[in-house]
Amino acid sequence: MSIRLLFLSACLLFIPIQAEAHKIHVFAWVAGDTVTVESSFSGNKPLLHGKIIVKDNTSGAVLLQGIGNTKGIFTFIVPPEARAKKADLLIVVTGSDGHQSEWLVPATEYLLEDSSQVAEQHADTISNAELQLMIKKIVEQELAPIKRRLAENRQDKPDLRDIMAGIGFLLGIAGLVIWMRNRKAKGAATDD
Amino acid sequence: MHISEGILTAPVLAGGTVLTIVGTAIGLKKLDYDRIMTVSLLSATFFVASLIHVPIGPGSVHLLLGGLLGLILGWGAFPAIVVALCLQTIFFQYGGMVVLGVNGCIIAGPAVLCGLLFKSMLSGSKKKQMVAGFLAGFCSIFLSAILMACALYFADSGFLQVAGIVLASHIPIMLIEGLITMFVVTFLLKVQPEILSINN
Repeated sequence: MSIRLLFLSACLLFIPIQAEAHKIHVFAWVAGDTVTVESSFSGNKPLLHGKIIVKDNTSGAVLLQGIGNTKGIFTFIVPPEARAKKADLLIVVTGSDGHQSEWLVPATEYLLEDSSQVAEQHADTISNAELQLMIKKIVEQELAPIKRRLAENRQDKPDLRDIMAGIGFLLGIAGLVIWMRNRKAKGAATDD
Repeated sequence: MHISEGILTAPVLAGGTVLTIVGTAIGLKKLDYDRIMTVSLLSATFFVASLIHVPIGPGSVHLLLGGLLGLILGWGAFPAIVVALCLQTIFFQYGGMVVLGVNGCIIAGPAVLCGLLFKSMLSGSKKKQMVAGFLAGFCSIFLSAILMACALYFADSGFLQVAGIVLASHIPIMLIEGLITMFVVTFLLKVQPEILSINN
């Protein structure tokens, strides 16, 4: 194989290393009793009007469904039946062009928020309860971007290692085929 | 262009898988094993080309370079694309193993068809060669989009609506792939015509 072909192929192979993945990225975070779902394509391009289905992860029963807005955001309040069953919420987001992704919100995430509400109910005085509510709201507000960032970081994105491993696999398969053919040819030559 | 798991119906999945198995078998039979490194390198090119995200249009689309593979490899493009799709599923979670057959059929089918259709034009004048390169890149995406709309039609309702969305989101990539394939093919014809099995 000529050096020119190798050079051309190498050019084509290494162009996209800085490029990004192509699939729907979904992440969801809990703030209070509200779950926010954010869906986007690569390059933080929002998924327009994606179809969102929230299921009970154990039974697969559909708890609620809706459509994301133009910013790819969909918010919902944790359904009472999910809270009663302490069910993990499986959020399935489907785009119009055949793409689909999932995100799991474990029950512990929203039940943790719920327990703080119980503490609020047992407050000694109204002023204490009000103070707790205020603190809770402020903390939630402050934590929302951090929760979003944490959720975002949980996503699997292709990195250089994946890309190089894939290329290695393909070249390895070719090497294996060449080796097998050479072995076969040698075997045939020895038989003769 | 990668349909995810959990969207398509069982008959579509089964049909796609059968067609992909047949296409891959024909591809492996017709493959010139002396060109196995070319096949491997082009398969690797397809593998990473899908990472080039084109932020134009309503959806999110990426390069495929199916037309280029079809022109260079002919039927050999089928196994090359299917193996790369399989690795994309493993490493990037694109599509899925269950839908590998349908995705293979959608992407590799038009690539082979365009390769076979436009290959003869490469022996003509320079203008014809450029047109062949552009059409191979453009039409492979166009046909893939149509096949994708057909597959989604059985899972959803309203073919025209699905086809409209899929085609509209792929128009930029059709043009880009057409141009890339045109430039690569004309370059190869100038420096290494034997890669395209053309002896100028």
